[in-house]
Amino acid sequence: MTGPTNNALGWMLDEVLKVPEARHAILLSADGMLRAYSKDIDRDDAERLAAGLSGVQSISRSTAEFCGTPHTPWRQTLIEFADGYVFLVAAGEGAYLAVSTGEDVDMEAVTYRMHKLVDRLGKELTSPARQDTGSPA
Amino acid sequence: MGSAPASEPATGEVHLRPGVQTAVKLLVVGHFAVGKTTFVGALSEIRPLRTEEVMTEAGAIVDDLAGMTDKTTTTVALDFGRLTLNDRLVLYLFGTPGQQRFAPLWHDMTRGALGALVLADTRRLGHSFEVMGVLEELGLPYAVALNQFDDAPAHELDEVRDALDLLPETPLVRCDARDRVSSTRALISLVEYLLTRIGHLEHT
Ligand SMILES: Nc1nc2c(ncn2[C@@H]2O[C@H](COP(=O)(O)OP(=O)(O)O)[C@@H](O)[C@H]2O)c(=O)[nH]1
Ligand SMILES: [Mg+2]
Repeated sequence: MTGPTNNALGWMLDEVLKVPEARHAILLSADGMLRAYSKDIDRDDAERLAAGLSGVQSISRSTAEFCGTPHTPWRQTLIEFADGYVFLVAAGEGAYLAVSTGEDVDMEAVTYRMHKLVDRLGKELTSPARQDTGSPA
Repeated sequence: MGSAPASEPATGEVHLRPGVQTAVKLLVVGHFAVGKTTFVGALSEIRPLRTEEVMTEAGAIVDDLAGMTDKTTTTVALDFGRLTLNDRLVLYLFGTPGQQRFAPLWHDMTRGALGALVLADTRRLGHSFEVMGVLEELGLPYAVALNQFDDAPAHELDEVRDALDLLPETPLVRCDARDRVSSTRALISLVEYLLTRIGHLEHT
């Protein structure tokens, strides 16, 4: 157990929003808890999105066999809406980074920035498995 | 719980470090149509996450709809809500889809969870064994809350405890998933149980 996020890493997420058309960024742990969020998103909304995005990742991963090889590692999920996109990538062990953008975004620029951010945050982004829970490690 | 002072006895009360908010992830589980989505929605202080889809006929054959004529949607991913119990404890509630075909997601969602509340229905107690079995396999502690449906037979809690073959320490309570106060009480019994267990672990 930890506290609700204090958003100490939020300022780092704001960096990714420098890409034209980028809207919001959220960092979540694989168990669906919010780790950090960019400046223009409300914490309540960010917490709900973190839970939903963890489900998106889980379900995305479960479709690996459809891709041909059941154990191929998941890298990214891209969701397209009428007016934009949501990008979801791995952010170290047990963490994911999500960024939303407008429809005219340069997709390569966003994913490049996202991976840069993941690299920069390095260890800070790693969600160590909780030691004090009843769930399996 | 690493943050609990080791000197405090495990009384079943909620002992947490003063001035620090603790986030606790809990699962709300149970078979199809037992009231999980209703429960999370009634409790959440923020707009809950819902992933309801209208049931197709193909699904309805598999999903047990007996006695559930007004249920037209089903959860396809997860429910999520948040409840701040007090200035020290914030509960994050993750409701899982009940149907077996969603099992992989279900297993992922147990990650980081401290425990689970199993919702049960006295009209179909037998349907709860599968979920309790999964929790036991995972070593995830749980409490059971009987969601009181209007036409459900009124059983004594002792009878239900026997029928579900619960351990003596497993909390068993009644609730109305539509009612915030009653549902909060059910969650508190789970939280107190979890903290008591943690206390015991720390003292052994
Ligand atoms: N009478 C009564 N109906 C309930 C109660 N809880 C849920 N329901 C109804 O039972 C149906 C199934 O509930 P739902 O929350 O969708 O179940 P889930 O499949 O476990 O998520 C819905 O039509 C609810 O309105 C309850 O405590 N009493
Ligand atoms: Mg549901």
